[in-house]
Amino acid sequence: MNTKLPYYNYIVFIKRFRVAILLVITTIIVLSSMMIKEGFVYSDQSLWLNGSKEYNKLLQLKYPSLTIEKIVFNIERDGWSIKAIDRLKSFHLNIRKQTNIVSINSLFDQSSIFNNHLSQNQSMIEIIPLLDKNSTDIYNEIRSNPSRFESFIDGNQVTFYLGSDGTERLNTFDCNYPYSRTKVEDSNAMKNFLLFSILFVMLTGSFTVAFRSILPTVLGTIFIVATTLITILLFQSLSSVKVTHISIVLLAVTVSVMDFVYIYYKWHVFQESVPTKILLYRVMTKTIVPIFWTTIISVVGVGSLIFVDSQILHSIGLNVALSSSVGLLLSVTLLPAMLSFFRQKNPELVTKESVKYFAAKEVHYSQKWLYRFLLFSALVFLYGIFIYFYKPMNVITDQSDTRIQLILDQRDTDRQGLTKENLEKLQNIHKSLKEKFSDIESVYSAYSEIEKLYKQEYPNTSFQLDTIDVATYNFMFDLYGISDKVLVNNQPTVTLYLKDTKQKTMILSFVRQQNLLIQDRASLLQMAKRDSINTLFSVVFFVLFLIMGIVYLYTKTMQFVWIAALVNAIPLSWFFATIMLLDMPLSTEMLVAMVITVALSSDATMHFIFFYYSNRLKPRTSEKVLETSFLYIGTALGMGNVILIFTFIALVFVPDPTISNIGLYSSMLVMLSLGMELFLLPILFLQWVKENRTLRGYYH
Amino acid sequence: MKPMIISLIFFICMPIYIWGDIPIKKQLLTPEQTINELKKIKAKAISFGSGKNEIHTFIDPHCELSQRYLAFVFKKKEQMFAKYTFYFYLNELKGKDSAEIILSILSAPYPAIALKTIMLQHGDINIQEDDNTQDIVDEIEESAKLIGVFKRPYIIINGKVK
Repeated sequence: MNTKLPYYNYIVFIKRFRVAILLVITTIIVLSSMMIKEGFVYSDQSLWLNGSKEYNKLLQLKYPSLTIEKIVFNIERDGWSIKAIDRLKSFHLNIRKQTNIVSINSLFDQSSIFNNHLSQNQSMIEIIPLLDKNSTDIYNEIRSNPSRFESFIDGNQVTFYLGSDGTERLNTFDCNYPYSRTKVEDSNAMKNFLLFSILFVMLTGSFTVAFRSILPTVLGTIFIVATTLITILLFQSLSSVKVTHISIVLLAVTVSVMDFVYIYYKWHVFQESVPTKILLYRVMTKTIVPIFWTTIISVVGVGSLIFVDSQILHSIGLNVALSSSVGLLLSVTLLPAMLSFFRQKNPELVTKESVKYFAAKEVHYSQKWLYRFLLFSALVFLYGIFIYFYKPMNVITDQSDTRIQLILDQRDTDRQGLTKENLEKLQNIHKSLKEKFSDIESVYSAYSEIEKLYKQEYPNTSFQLDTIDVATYNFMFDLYGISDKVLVNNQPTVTLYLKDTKQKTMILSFVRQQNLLIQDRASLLQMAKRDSINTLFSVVFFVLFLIMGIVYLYTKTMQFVWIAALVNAIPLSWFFATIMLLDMPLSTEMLVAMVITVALSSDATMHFIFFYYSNRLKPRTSEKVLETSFLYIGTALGMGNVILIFTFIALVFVPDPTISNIGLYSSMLVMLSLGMELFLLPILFLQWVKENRTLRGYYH
Repeated sequence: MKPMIISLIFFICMPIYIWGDIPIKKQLLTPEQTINELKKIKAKAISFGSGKNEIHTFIDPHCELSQRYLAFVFKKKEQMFAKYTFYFYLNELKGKDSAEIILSILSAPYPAIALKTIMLQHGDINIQEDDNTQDIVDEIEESAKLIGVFKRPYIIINGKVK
């Protein structure tokens, strides 16, 4: 063998020092496992919030954020009765004692305004919370004016909103009635156990079944564990984000599975046809170029997210960049060093016969149907683009987050507080919100309280903001403790109670334009996700252009560039257009899945195009070209993708919505992407490259 | 005969209702005049707090609602006294027999403490006599009549009754 051939000396070096290399890498793995900070985070709330635009505004102005938990009691057992009021009241009093609760909004918290009239010369308007009244009076008041309590009472369902400071989570509590509470999380230990068990069983099982051997299972596990551990350690050391979200583990595993499958499969199929001496060299020459370019795409494309302020996007970017780089590094060190110890006798090529069948079928494709498919996909793509720009994007939201807490943004300290100017602003906000959004059940603010108070004092006079003396109401609010409910840091607040959450994203976008700050963490989270949509879409497009650029750089052939663009863009357009067509609210899990998929499918595209391009000078029939590409690339791609599809589907059983949704959407997208790589890419290749007689240097 | 007697009683009582001690439910002075009138008796009031906004209140120590009002003020006293300055004018309400206790509070070495003891803690204080105190009570009474103080507590903010 000519030692001047690329990589040859490197392979010789790896073989000579393989024990030392394995020892060094084993030491790094052991150290990594010891140095990794424990505790993966499942909730991505703080990661989304930190660095987001709205949350930063709140922090800059030193306003506290509020975590609001909705608790709905079912009082069907007692029905509406004084006994039920007694029990709910005692819950309200008990929960108030919990130190981490900063606010409670319930029917008992509602102000009861009345004229305390003892005699003709002894009277005073009083505002007291319903809680201070006895249960019989409360019962009568609810019965006499049920519309006042519609935000808290719906038949036998009684709602309490408990506000805690920042990231505080509330403890469990006792009440005589069954209640629903959506924000309680299962223990992370249970989730970790389930997630890692699923990953282990699915991956090891798939490797054993796919290659009919235990060797890839052992080597694959070592490779994946090594890549994941080193990635996590590097992430924890380099990232300014102090928590390690569980999706980082998933991304690292995904990237390493594909790297392993491509290299191991090549080594597996070359067992019979290539002598042992040059086996690793041949494997390296056939795989390293596409793996290198895929790593570049991941590092530059998805890795560009590290420059984004949002912590979650920064984490995804850094993690993809790190796992791809570590994957590449271990693919050229750990994997060849391990493989150099083994030789597979009688390796089974599971797809040896099926590739012939598929090649024969695909070679006789219908050109008419191909163009129809491409035309339809182009329309789907245009529909997706149109919808993206013209339809208001609805972000998925927790159905229980029916309360929005806002603060009037008045920077000028002299104009802060309950001034006439601010009350006029509140009046306009009340009016526009009620006119524009049918989902809003009620709006609570200093303005609504003043209106209530005025109507109580002057029942026969219509309420006119211009005629009231603001200082008087200011004093009454202070006197009766209402200021705490309608002001925060001397700024008026607005509380919206929603019937349901369908219009929530639109409401939040609207209030943001009205100079209102969002204070509750659920709404802040929703806006942070809404704002990240554009960033994630930009990254997806950037990655697509990067793939096109790299394919052109490598092949200098535009046909390959268009093929790469189409094969990667079609699954994403279909997926996005379907979501929009079905009017499904967009979730960030979908977008993360899109980022994972674009990284994975670029991997497949690069391997296929590298194969076609490097074999362009060989005299082969179209059928043979397809057959060999299926055997050498398609099978590895299929195996890797099927392993990932099963693994992602299995993640649906992890009791965490983020993980299960990423699993669900990623499996769907990977399936679509695999379909395009196996059925569209080879046909496009035959249509545009193989039959292109003007292509220089190509063997037709 | 009977309707005549009723009409006679009505016409005799009407002027008493209008001009007499029966309260008239309106403020007799404009806000500016009220503020000027209050300036005259401000020094005679028992004051609490050091806030920018002034709250003037006519109270009777034996009036349950005056006591309740004071309790509300003292419930959040740090916050209230930082934002407002309270001026309490002790002004007897007919039928409450509080003339003596008003004199005692105003004559006490520390009228503010005495007011709290009587109105919030419902305690006793030693009855003290002071000739000057009666003058204060009379001055407050006179201003109250001019302003049109008709009830207790009578709260004035920016010269306007609440």
